[in-house]
Amino acid sequence: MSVIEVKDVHKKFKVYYDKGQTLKERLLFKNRAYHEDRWVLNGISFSVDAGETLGLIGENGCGKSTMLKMMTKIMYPDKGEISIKGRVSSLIELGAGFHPDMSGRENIYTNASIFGLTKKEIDRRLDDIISFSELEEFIDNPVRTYSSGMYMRLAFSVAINVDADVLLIDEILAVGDANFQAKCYNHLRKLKSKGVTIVLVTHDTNTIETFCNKAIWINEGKMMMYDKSSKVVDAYINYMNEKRYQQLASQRINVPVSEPESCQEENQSIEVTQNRAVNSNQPEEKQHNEKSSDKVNVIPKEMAITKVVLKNSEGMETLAFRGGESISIEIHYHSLKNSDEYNFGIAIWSPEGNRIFGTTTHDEDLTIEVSQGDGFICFSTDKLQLLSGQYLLHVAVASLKSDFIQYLRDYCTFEVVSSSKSVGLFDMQHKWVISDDLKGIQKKSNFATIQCNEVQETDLSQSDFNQMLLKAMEDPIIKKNIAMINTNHIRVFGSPDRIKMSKTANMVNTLFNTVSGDIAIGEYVFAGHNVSLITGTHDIHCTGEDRQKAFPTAGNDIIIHDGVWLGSNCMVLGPCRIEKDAVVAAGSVVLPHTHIKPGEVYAGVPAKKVKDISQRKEGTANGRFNYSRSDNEKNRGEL
Amino acid sequence: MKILKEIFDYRQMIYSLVRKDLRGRYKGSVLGFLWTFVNPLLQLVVYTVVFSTILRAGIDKYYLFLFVALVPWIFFQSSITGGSSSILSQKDLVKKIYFPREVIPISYVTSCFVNMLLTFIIIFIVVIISGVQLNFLGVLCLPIVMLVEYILALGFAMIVSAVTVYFRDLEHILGILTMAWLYLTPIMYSIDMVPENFRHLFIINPMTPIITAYRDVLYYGQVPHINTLLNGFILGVVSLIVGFLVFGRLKRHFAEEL
Repeated sequence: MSVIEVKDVHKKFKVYYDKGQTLKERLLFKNRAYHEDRWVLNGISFSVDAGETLGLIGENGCGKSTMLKMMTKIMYPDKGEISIKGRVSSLIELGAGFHPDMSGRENIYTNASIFGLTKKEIDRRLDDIISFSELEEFIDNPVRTYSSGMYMRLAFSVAINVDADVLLIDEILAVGDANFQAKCYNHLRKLKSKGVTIVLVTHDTNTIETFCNKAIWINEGKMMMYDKSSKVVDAYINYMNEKRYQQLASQRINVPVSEPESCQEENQSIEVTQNRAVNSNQPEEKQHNEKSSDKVNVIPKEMAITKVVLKNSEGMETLAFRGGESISIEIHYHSLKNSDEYNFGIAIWSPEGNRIFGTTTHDEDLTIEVSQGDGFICFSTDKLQLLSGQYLLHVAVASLKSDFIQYLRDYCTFEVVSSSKSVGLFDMQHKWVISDDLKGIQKKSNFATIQCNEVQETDLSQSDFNQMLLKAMEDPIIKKNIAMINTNHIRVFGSPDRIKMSKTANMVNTLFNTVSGDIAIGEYVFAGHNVSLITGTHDIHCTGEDRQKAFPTAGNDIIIHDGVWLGSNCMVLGPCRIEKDAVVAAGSVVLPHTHIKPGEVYAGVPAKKVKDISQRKEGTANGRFNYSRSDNEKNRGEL
Repeated sequence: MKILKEIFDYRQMIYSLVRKDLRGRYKGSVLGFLWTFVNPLLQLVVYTVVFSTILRAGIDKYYLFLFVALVPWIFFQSSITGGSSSILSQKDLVKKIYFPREVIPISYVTSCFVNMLLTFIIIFIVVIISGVQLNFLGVLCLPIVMLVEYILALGFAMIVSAVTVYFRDLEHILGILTMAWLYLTPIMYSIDMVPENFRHLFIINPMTPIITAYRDVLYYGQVPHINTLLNGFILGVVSLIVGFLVFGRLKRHFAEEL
């Protein structure tokens, strides 16, 4: 049942170029009354069900507050209809009608009466209001003696204790200290659970995401999106980031080639190079200057940085970048001679003065051959792993003796707009793995540690894998089985009774090890050659007692559901569960505690989920040992 | 009708606003609420001095003659002039919160009305001291007269308060208009002094019957004519209906205009 029904609402404001407010002005300057109709809302329609919480977001002036005001009937739409069932209370203005000379108690009556409460109703709520505001001691003091925080607390307490079926809130939750805010949200949640419908207007996307079920994004009077709040917030943030990026890009299209101020780097071991007043266009003159100075260890100015150019992924010169896109920093220089004795460096600093990243060609053992005349050297990265913010670029050139020839501190400031919601400066590449995948097989706490190991091991190379196998062979249980990988028959280690295999399963040359657990195989399971199913291996890094300590309650079984396809040469280490229609690619090793869900495709060493069946490795008969780094990376990209 | 019910639901708000207005009016002054009584008393002293020693009007007990008419007039005048800016002065409320907008002029006029009632305590004391023989039935009619005046003042206040939002000059124009109105109403003089051929113009003036009725009761000590009462009542109701209609039409765009 929808409580709020908004149908095709339009609203216009008259914008007067120069409105005559008084009679004289109106009579004398009749022509001035020109006005323009500006449509602030164009066809907004939505409906909100009882107990739902709706958020309205948008830029300043997009019309979201106007929408709310129309819902409270402060304004009326020019076209369309709004109908709300039940008592509406709006928290648009706090402390309305407060009189500074009256006591807190009297003001509660005044303020609550403005929300349409009768005296009886207020009497009934008075205690709740006072206790919510935490102002028991001060309630009979005049409001003018209150601090602003107390004032807002009182005001909010009144507003929030007005029983309503529909609560409309405009950007007012930024009141009081953190504790009081938390209290307010808790109260709102309580109201929510009581079935109060809440409409919230705010800029704070975080609030919308955490508090609202649904959200509407209004842009320039039009409804851009009406969906689940997280989706809307994402779209809105992306839009805002893109907009900011475009703004910055258009502002900063021309990188200032101004003379950057040249600074000196304090160098502990070597006398500081005198580098005053670098005139990059006239290196000879500079050289002259240098020579005239009395400093020791003066480096002749045969090399100078003329300018630094930053380019984005499209090769455009700019100072605004999207987080994650590529960036190239071209250091243009002018050299007086051919030489390979130069060391170029860049550093990125935060405005607070922390170096985030710095490197030099020398540190990376690169020899830069510079030929006489103008040229440039380019530093580039495919992925600018910085979060939104401003960053300072330092560039430097030095001789190999590590004397600085030129150190351009704060050469320029560039801005990064990142769509990541992470905080800080550096956008670390990462992923999260949820332990729920393994429910039923492994306890969560144990699982977390295993996952960490696995994440680290995604980079396994051929030799790493061999080592892993060697290590595994030290395990008394696995040792025997490894030796039999190349056998051509089905071999069963341990008791055959522990194998439950359906008749339709097709297993060729498979090795079953049931020494420490059961193996169950469902219908129409198809296995390629040389598949090994080894129960109870746990973690191959753990041996003996350690393992028992680590997974005291873990089952050891391997459960393979109907229709699973196991590629040739794959190895499944229990405990694990492979659900219906899943695929394990040839040559993969499924580590213990893996839970492969229905239809998923796992590949690699160790086996990781890949997106779809086409990612499965083909034609690797001996895939387990042919597994190459590039494939591994390909898989990783899909994860 | 719906609007009347809504206003009734918001009665506590009217009460709060009136109380706030009355209490806030003399807040901080030494005499405080006493000013409500001191003010008319001092006025009375001035009239007595001026009209019984300097400017003799030739009317018996002229100070009383003037006083019983002037107090109701001041209520009416302040309802209109103050009422016209009442919406503007509650701008913040109107822009931010929903409530029936009628509440603002109603509470303003009511607060003026309460003020007048308090002044009537002084009037009664003065009337009794000056030895006027009050007619019992006449005194019973007084609340009716007051109610009629209240309705009339409310009707006018609603019109001017709504119009002032769109046309701010009205506030100042009203200053002049009410002054003219004061002289065109038999307050400083009696209706008998008006030349015969102008008298019908005075009948249109809704304040004429009201002032006449007050004076009948408090100065002459008689029951007001039923015609006078009826005349005032009809004009009052008409002004109230017109007031509600105009206000209802104009209130939709208050928030945008303020």
